[in-house]
Amino acid sequence: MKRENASFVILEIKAAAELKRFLAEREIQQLIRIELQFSGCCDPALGLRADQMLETDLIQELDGLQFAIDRKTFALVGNVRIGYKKSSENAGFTLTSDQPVSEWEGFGVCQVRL
Amino acid sequence: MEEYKLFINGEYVDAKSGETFESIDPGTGLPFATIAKAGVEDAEAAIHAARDAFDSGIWSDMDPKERSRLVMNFADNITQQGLRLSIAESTDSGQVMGLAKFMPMMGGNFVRNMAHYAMNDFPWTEEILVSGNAFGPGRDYIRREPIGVCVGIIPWNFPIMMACWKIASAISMGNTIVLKPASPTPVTALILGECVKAAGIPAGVVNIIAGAGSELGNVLCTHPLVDKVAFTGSTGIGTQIMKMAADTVKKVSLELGGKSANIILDDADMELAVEGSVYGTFYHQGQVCESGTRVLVSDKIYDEFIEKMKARTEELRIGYQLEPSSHQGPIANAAQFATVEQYVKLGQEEGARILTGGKPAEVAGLEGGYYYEPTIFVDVDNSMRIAQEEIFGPVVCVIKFSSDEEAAAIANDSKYGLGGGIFSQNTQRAENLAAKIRTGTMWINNYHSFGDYCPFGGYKESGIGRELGHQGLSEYTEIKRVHISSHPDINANIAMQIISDKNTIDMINYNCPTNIIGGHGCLAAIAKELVNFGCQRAMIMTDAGVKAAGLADLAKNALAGFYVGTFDNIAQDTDLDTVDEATAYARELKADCIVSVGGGSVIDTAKAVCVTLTNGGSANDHLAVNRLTGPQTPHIVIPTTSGTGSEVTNVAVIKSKIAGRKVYIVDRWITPNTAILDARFTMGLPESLTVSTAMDAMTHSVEALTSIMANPICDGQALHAIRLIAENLPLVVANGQDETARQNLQIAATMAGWAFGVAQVGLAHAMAHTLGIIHNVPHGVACGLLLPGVMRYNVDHATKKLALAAQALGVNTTGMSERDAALAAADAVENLMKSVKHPLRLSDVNVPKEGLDVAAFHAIADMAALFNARPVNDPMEIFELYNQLY
Repeated sequence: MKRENASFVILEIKAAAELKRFLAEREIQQLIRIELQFSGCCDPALGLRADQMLETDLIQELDGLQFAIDRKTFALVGNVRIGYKKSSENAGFTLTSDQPVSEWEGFGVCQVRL
Repeated sequence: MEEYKLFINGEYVDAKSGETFESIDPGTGLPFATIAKAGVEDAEAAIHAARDAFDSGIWSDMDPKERSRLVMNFADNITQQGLRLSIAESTDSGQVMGLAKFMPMMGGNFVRNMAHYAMNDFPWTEEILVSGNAFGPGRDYIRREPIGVCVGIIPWNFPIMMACWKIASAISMGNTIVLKPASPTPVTALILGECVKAAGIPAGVVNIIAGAGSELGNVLCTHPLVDKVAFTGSTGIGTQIMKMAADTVKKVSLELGGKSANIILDDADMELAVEGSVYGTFYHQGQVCESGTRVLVSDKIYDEFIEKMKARTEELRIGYQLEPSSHQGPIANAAQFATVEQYVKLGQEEGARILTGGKPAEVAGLEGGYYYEPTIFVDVDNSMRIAQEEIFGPVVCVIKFSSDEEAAAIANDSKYGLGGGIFSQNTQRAENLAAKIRTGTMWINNYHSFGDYCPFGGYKESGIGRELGHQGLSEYTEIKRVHISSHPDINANIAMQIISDKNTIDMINYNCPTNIIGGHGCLAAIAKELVNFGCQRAMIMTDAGVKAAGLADLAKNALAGFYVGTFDNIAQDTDLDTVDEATAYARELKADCIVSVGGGSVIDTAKAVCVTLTNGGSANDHLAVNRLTGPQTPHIVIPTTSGTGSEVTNVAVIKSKIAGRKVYIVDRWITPNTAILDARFTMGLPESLTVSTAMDAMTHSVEALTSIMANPICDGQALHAIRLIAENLPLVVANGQDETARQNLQIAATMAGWAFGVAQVGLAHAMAHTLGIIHNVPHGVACGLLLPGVMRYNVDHATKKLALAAQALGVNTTGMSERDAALAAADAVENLMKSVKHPLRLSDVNVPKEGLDVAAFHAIADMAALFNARPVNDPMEIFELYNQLY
């Protein structure tokens, strides 16, 4: 199965700016992968990772950024909205999807993993 | 389909929005129940119900025994509903029936055990026998009280157990709770509401709401009426909860993820290790936070082990969870299933090899279910993501190691620290290794073995706090310390005087338990004293001089069959090393009583030995004020000087080489049990020592009389001691063999000891200590030298007392003003010293004039200065005093 261009990301303005800043600061040109991540005990979540492209990916270019998602993950979650939240508690990206992966989707924030 | 509502304030209600959601059977992928979906309004209603119930006291103020009985009713109702709960648990969560059938029993037992502990053994109040504050005497105790409204948020892997852990822990401690079960598995928690109600637990104490964490999490974790949040779930969500709770400083306990290492050593029982590894990983399809998801295997047995583990794993039967023969049921939900698939794919991309499994499992007739084959990865490096990140499914990484140290290093190379295992037939080896692993639980030759009384929780990012057992229950309480002052009087509170001009402390706390035996030949009484103590083996402590004078032998002969040995290596300036040396000798002799024969240095060393002998360790461990809580090794003192008073005081003064100064043990429990005042032991004391030690006793008496801590009992003792010294010292100087006069000086020293032991000393001692440390001036000599000058310095702050001292010194004060009489006391002391040829000037004892200014600063900092009649704040005044006496 070959990688395929698709539309699966809704990117908020702040999130776009922060993602660009993240890549620029590290001088990396990798794409941003949306993937299922696990941080322990019972609650998978969607997360972001700076990564290389894989043959089985769906790819989307948006606002100068390149996003990838595994086909199976897309089938599970649908479209993903990427936002950015900054509060007195913390700052990071919020990911919500058409089909939430867990009841906690959107509650926490995540950082881009390397 | 079954319908379940929210349980709020003792009633089952629909969600305010009317919304519902479906709970899915993961074995079929089909819905089996409709659940009311709580929103923010419902959460607030639940919180308010819990708050009102708590604040009313209907639960929190209930006697713990009565409360526990209701909690036990709750447990009984869980048992009643056991079958229904088991089936619901299995259907909702995918637990195989072989496991689910035990859950109500285990949950009910846990509830009952916690209630029982709360009723009988939990320390609701605890006396603090030693407060650590010598200036605030009183009764101190702690009360453990409920925290208030607790929120419990639980995961989907063990719904009944998690609900019981949270509910029972919270309510047994008098709290109220709002429980939010996981949305994929809310059914059994909601059934527990029926059990709560049937048990007679008041409305509002337990509230159970089902709904999305993303919607309810914010209100539950930030609501000002919530006092504590207890969360079990992912580290990502736990982190967020902790941050949110921080704004209102809520108590937070978290039980989060893990990537626990199950270590198989080369001497493991192979069959047990294989079974333990398979069970440790694949139990409940690996959906257990403390699963042994990294199996570390010794390279010596690696090939045999992985072959056997593969074979055993492939024997596991995967099937519908309600089918009794199933070993493995489905993964809990679609998202979790997808996560497992993703990590298996990742593992292969990272270069690990699949030994078995690695794909979804087919279960006939249940194509919609989330079944996955138990999967073993080998050729794993611990740095791989599959070894570092929790997968929460039936996937294990097997990693090779070549030494115990390497195993520990690999185990600890994880951001988690929740569980772990060691399989070995050498318990000592396994325990040594367990001690090195940074994790909350270590199982040796077992796994997943919980105990209601055994605390569970994580190191590092696996969480904060503990659940279960005493430690878990304590997390649901607050501690309040209560202090009841023993002397509720502004005139008795030394600390309050910091902000006042008051300078005396009016309280009596008189404790002088020493048995005094005196009279001609009274040494003979020593044997009976030992019998009274129940002792058999007395060790004498003395110094070389006393021993050479034959006095130690006198005591030894009197002890007869009770005597076991003598320690005589005590210098005038005793130190902690000497105490340790003497204690070691006493242990060797199995001494059960110490007899000190000597002056202050010997007596103080012996006091410290008694403490160290009783409590173990070394002398330095026991330097403290009022920390002992009971009798020490019995101590009989035979003083060979008439000055120190140490035979009746609660202080041991000893030099510390590390601290570079004198240090103290101050405690009523070190006061000697018996003092034998046999004049034979002072008859041979040289004149100069007789005089200087008597002046030490005189200084004790005068300073106790004028101290800000003086009281009428000590005044009486001090005045009579002054009288006895004034009358008998010249007699002893004239005739050293005057036994009656010698006895009277001994009695005076002892009475002075009683007086200053309670009332304390003052500036003369502070200045004398300094001269002793800096210029090695013997203590008694320094005290005598300084006493008249200090008396004059204090004249306007202790006029009445000094006038009484003048009378005791034999001054005819008829017709004198009180102040003149007070000054006459100082003159009388000086005259006494002249008559017995005591040094009168600092220059007489070779104290250099240079450095007296520095000495003044040291003197001000000496603790004794605190109790001086006149406040001592200005070092220049003290410097002037030193100069006057030069």
